[in-house]
Amino acid sequence: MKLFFNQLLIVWIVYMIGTSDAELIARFRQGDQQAFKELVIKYQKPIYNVALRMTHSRAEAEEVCQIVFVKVFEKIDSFKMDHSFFSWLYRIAMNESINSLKMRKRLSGLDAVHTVIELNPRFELSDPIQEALMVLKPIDRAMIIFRHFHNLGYQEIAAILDLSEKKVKAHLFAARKALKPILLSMGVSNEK
Amino acid sequence: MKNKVMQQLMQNALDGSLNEKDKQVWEALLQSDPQVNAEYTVQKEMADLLQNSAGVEPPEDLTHTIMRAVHIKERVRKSTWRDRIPAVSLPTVRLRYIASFAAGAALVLLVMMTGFDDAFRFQPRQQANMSGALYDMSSAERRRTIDLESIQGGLSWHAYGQSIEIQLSLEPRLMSDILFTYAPEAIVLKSLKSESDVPFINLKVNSEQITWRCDNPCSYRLTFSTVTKEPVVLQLQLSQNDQIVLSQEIK
Repeated sequence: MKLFFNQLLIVWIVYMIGTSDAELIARFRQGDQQAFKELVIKYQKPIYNVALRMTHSRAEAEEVCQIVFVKVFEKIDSFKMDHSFFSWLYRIAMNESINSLKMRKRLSGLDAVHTVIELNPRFELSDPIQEALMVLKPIDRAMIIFRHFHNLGYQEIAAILDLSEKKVKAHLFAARKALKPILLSMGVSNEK
Repeated sequence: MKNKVMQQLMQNALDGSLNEKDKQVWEALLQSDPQVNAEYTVQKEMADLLQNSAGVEPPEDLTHTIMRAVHIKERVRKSTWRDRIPAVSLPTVRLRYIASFAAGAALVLLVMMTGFDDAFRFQPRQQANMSGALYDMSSAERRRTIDLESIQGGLSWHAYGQSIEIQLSLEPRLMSDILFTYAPEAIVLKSLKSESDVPFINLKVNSEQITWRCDNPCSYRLTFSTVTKEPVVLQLQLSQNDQIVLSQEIK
């Protein structure tokens, strides 16, 4: 009976995180560096896009990607296999993007920042939607990013942001509502 | 109709998951309630607009950059001064414990005799650790030129005091990546200046580290302020294959 439940648990874990992720994580935990590289290749694009949308800076998005994967490298042993790997990854990316934004604010008075801005212009994307997103609160921005740019379900977003589905829906509703006047003030409209 | 039910219907309408029965109810509601209709129009318009935004391709060398960051981090972690102290025999360990105890006792005596503030007033005391050897860079030896070819893993300082200024004079023969890491909660970067009018390449600053690329001889001045009276650790990492001459000055 116990064996049956153990097998059931393994099947469920494999189902939860996807065969290849589970396999790659297991291989990496055993010291296979190539497995880690495969995880990087698989997830770098979505993570880069989340970070880019959150920070609105290619340089910072690249940096967030580096930090996210360094953290994964360091903390893979603490990852629970019964959780979704991509939710964990997205959550680290979200937290690091927010840290990056805080750091930007914190460094805004320093000499170094002028050099940073000159060399790595932060507001590089000439996308009015992105400009409007930057006006929203980070949590509302995250909702829009996950739901509309990454097509994640409410349950997945709730797992990433550690919120209830109800709250996710409420935030998303409020975010879209707040976005309309911002976009209108920028002269962007979807009306035909 | 209850607000909760209306919101659920709107959510389902936006997601395109209304069944036939709900669809009829929802369409009737849109006809009868202009406020609901206006709200739905805004939500639908925004959802459609956002849905058209395409993702961005990451830089081609992102995988390489990430893997390099991982390896640098791993190398820095392995190359702290404690790790690089060579393995020693048991009697030496005992001697080291005795020496540590004696140093601790002397420190306590110093604090008792001079008072805490005087004892901890900023003194230019640092330790730089290279290739397993421990160098005590006392006040008499503030400036030192080191051939980094002989350094494995970089340098680390244990700096005491409120403000730390570091001057780096780098003369790379090849392009080199420079990585400075510091304890995030204990130290704050106040300024970073290039003193030779050489612009920073790939400069990245965050709460734990600074990185940039150096391909010309250049002098840099970094100023940090400490937010704790505890010793802080600064580490410098350079590409190991390059021949770089570093002179450092900690005031």
